[in-house]
Amino acid sequence: MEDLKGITLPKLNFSLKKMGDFLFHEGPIQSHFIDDKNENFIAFWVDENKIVNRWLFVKVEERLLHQFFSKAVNTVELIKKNVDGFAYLIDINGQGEWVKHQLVSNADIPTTYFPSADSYYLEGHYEAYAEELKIYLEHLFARKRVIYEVREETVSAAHEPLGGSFEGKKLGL
Amino acid sequence: MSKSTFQYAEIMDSLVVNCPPTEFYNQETIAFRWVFEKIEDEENFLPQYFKNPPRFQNSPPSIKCQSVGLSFFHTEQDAVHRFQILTARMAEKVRNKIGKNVAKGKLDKSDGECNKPDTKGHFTFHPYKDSAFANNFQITQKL
Repeated sequence: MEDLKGITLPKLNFSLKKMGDFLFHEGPIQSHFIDDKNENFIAFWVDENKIVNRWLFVKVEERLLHQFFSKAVNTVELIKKNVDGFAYLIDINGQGEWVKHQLVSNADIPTTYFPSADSYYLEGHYEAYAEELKIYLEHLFARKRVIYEVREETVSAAHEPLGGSFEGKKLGL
Repeated sequence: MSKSTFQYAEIMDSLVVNCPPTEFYNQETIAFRWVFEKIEDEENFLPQYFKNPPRFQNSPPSIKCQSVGLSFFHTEQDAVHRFQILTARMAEKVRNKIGKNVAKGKLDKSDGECNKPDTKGHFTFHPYKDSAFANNFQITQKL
């Protein structure tokens, strides 16, 4: 196991609920969690010894997740562009207990905990849950519209012309 | 065939889902599996559930069922391709925890039950008790 340069926390001051797996092979490899405020965390299996498995958790914005599924960012960037600037490294024992919680800044995450640069999302190779989340995010960001404020004196420019001239021109076409 | 004939029946019977699922069946097939440095390694054909119990403590029953099964691939190309795809997306530290070589062998109808290969060529196999299927496998290439 890698020695970590970070802060050991007695426990997390929030709870995490597992939503599903992104990658799975005879067991979870990469998973999605949410916290009490419905904020997104991605968890990566990064290390192990005979007693514990170590998972790296990072809080990520929905937009970053959407970018990941759009292949605009790879998995390394998904980790490094986390909201907090740090990751939670959690050691989980054989009874499923979270026995150690360490907070490690992005700069101090061991290089061996990162995947390769060629770690972009790839259709058909992620679990069904990931594919569903991808579709949800596509809908979410497709619906969003930017609303611009305009000065009051310019509002009339956005209206149809008065007096029927507009309608008349259309009919004359 | 009764579930009690499966090698890991004790765990499979304790789950609140059909394990293996009803679509599993007996099949004679050539299969490919990721294995470690030597084919004699006892962990080569040990399901992840037993290699690494912490990973499954909070898993739903369907995942636990899958994890007492063994992963195989329909073709050698499928096995190599899936390994490359998956390990590129895994932490460098744990990449070699899932295998180093590809092994090829034959599964007989009397060895256990499996499902049909998915689009990645992957299928899960639940061995019967006392099956010696592992003795049929030989390493064919490095991953």
